[in-house]
Amino acid sequence: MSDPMKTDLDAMLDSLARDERAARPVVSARLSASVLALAADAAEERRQSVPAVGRGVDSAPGGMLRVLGGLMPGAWPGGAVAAMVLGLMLGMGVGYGYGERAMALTLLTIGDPVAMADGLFEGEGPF
Amino acid sequence: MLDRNAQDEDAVLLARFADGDQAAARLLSDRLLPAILRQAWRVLGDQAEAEDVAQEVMMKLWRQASSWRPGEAKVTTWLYRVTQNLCIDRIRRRRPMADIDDVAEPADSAPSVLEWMATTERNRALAAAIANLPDRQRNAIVMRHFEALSNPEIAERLECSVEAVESLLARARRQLAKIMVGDGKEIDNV
Repeated sequence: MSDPMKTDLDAMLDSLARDERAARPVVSARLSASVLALAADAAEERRQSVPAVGRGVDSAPGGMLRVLGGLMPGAWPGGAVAAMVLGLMLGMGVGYGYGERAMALTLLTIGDPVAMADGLFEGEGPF
Repeated sequence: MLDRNAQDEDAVLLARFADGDQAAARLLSDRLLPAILRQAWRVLGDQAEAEDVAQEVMMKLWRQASSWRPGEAKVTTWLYRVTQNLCIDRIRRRRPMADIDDVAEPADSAPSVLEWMATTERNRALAAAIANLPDRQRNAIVMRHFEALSNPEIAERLECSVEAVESLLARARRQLAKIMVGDGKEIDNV
């Protein structure tokens, strides 16, 4: 059995909702245009805040690579280029370090750089 | 009524906008702006102010686009909350001379609009009765009857369970029925 009080209330709410719908504001062309202009501004701000060739790298280390990548010209993804450069620099640094230690060891062993050089040229060096 | 697919579509469009697709911004604006404007209008009771708020809400959405995480929150739920907060901020600013501690928590569905739109004595009384409901009951009734949202959708926006929404609606209806049907003297006094 339906509750007449509830039914009356529903009818009254429906009637009020119809009035509300009739009085509702509609989105004007001006408001719509303004909102789209804001969207364009936001998109432009975002473009300017992200380096052009470093986009798409979102991890924490990627953030650093993105910054480095943004500084580099070329069509390659900036992050990848930056990673290669960092790897090369690291490799050279390590290699140089070992070479330096090898040189020091050689000098201690032979005690004469000239002799060491001679030995190297003759294929009898310490290496 | 927005179903899950429509909600997902909002998130997809937002992602497209974040990738630079301006057409997605237009689609999002067409889908979301009317509801934001209506919500702000109901709360503020003034179309010009409601338009200002709607612009501000959409600007926040555009700026949020690139960091939006799909699945964590629904776009419409987030918009509802932002709109409500901005409206409450405006209502607070309307009373610059009052000590903030003395100001009661502002009603967030404007009695002025509800009263203004009522064209009959009965509607006027009902509108005033709705305006006097506690905030959450009023919001639930407005979403259910004026926005035609389902109970799960209301639950999402009010950040509560569906059962809690049912309870809010039931209590609101009881209160309204008591005022509207129960006692003619109460109607006269509304």
